[in-house]
Amino acid sequence: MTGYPARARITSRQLLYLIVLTIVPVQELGAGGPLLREYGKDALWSLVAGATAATVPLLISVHIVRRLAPLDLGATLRSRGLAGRLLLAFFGLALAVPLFNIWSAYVQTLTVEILPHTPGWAIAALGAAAVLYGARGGIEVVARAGELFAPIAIAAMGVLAAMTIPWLHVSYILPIWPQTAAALTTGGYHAFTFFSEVGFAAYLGTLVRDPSTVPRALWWALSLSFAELLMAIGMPLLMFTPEHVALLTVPLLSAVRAIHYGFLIERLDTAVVAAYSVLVALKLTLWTTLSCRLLADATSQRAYRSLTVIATAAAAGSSLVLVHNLAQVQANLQTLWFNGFAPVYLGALLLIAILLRASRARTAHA
Amino acid sequence: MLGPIAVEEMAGQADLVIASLSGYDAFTGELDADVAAIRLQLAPSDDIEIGSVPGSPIAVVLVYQRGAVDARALSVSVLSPLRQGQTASLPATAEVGAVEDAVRHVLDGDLLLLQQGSPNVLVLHLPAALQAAKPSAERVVRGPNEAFTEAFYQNLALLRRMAKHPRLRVEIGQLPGNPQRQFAIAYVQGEASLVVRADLLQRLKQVHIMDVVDVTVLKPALADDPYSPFVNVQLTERVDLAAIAATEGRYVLFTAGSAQVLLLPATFVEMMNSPEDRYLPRYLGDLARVTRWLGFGIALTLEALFIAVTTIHQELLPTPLAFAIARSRSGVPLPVAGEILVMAIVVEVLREAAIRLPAPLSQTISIVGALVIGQAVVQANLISGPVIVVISVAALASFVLPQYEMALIVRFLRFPAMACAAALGLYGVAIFALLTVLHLASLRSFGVAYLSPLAPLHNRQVSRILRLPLRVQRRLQPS
Repeated sequence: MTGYPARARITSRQLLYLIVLTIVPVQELGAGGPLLREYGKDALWSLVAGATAATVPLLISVHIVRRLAPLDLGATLRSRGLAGRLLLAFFGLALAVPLFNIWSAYVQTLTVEILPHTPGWAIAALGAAAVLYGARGGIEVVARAGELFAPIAIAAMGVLAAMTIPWLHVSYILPIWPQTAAALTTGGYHAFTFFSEVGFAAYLGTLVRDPSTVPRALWWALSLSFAELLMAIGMPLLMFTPEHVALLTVPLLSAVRAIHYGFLIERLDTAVVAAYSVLVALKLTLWTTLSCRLLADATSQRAYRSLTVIATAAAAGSSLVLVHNLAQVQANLQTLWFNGFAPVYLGALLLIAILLRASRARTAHA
Repeated sequence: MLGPIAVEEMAGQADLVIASLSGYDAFTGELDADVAAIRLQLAPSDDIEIGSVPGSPIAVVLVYQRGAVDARALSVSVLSPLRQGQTASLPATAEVGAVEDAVRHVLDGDLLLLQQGSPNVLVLHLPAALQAAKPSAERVVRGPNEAFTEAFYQNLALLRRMAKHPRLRVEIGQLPGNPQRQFAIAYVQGEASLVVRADLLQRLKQVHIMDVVDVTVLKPALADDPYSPFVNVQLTERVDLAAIAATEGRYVLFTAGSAQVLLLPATFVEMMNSPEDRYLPRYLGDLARVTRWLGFGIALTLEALFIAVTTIHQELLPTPLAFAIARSRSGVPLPVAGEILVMAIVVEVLREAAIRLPAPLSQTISIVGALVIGQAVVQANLISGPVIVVISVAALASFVLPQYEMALIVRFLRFPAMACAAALGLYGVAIFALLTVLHLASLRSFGVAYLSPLAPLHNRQVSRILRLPLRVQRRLQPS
């Protein structure tokens, strides 16, 4: 461990890759579910829906990212005193909680999919070592690794998709509209969830620097929270759960998955899961790094090292428990996250923005 | 040999007048001003000798490169006549009046004789003292074939002759651990980062090694991460590579008695490039680079992937191939991972033996290793045929890497890769790849990201990875 990494200096391109990596959901690895197989029958429309659902939030993210680089949210908010630290702690915790979910799904998928005879602790231990090693270097190192891996992974997915073309059959590309509509909605929801977690926070961080843009920050906070709420309400009506949107969040991946399950080319399954296990490990590293960094900014910068070790060990260790009772615990965690954190977002953001504005006004007056 | 003190005094005065020399392009006959004009165009450099001739009855100043001029010829043909006040017998080849022309002659290895009161400078030509060696470890089919020698000043002159850059600056110092041992750094003023220079000099100050018999000994002292197997400096014996590096803004580090130099900062991409890429047509050069990247990947992971798919993920193999491997393995006592490990160790032993033995014997050892041992172990049913193929292809792939150190690192890293694959299959290989990339992403070479210009991706430097058409390269040049 080298201690607290220096202030992050990452390019907008790297941040974009991180976003791509982060919205690759771990549930994507949970291949073989009946719903995914069913989706495969509708390969073409799944591809279109996936591309649409992924493109819109990505374009929004690109817009944010261009305004964001270099990422200095922590340093900016930390200098705002107690209010800034509270905001950092809040976002740090909001990021840390889903870590447990990702870990458990990761370990479970690997043990089910490609390593049925390997004990879960071995998978979790090796994954934890990789996460700790990556988090040691801070977000810059993770960003560089992501910049290298994301294009490789996308290219690999393209190759895999191309390999399945000879098996293409017209009967598999008939549209099934209701599912597509549901997929679009939930795809958007899934991306917005991430959006509200990281991009949203960072964007607001830049907006509240200037008193003149604080109203815009509030508008963003309100509208995005509202959109998130609408989607959360609308999802059960469409009988679609967030896990299933995995198919739709990355276009190429969706194409591969859809075609893959449509034609049941089992041979590719292992390769895809193995390839994506790198991205998920990278995603875990990124989440650990970001959450610990925000928490360390909120408390003491020396705490980064300890926080990283604790968070990784807790998440990896808990995954071993979670895999045995995954559905229930995951549901509990999601309930905690959605019901606990999401509503608090709005209130906290409003409060912090008002405090920051007041602080700005006082400084300007002085 | 010359009188440097007088010149240093002149230099002091010259610095004062340098500011007023803008647009100064011809000699005036005033020694102070003329020397200052030369200094202005030729970056102040420790390998450029500018000095008066002690004992000479006429006020003259000589300018030349140390190492490019034969000392004996200089003494007999130039210094002795000057001490006797004779200029008629000097081996003058031309007279120049323009400063720029004079500087060009110095870079070509000639001497300049500046005389008080004469607006023209005499160009003296002495027999060439420079003798480059032939590269032994970095040979190319196309392009220059000049390598450094053990002569310190001659190496500096070789670099200057190849680079022919008026702003190439050389700084000479002594290593603290052994003041008798000189070192030199060469760089192009205005191109190279001064932050890197300060960092390099700071690290060199902390070198307390007595036996710096070769510049390679300094590598651990210059390392950014002492625990990393990857090296942050590039070693070369080729003059052209050093000259290219200097003109691109990198530093060249020489030590006395070493026939190799260190180039820094050095990134991963530069380790994968060969100087020959520049001398081939663009597409062929790019093809060679792509082949090298593929070779790197194959050498590092082929054995691990073979272990993973044959041990844990047999479903990935096409059915005929799976049957063929199974047939060839029938009766083999070791598991696949064991077979690969044994053969990898045997190949390493053979490689070491081939290096240590005298040249004629080493060829014999290679043939014995490749043919006799390979065939014998298969016939004896100790190792299966596909394993021999995999090991051979991986060993061949490691030879395409242009940097010897990089090939050694790959040889070292494939063992943990094999262990990960044997334990956790493709997941193990994936985690190994992730750890390797994370490690590479965390490395720096004198402040420069080791994966640059790949990550962070610099569009303007993309020609370091693949050569682009000249028109595109020009467009990418910063204005």
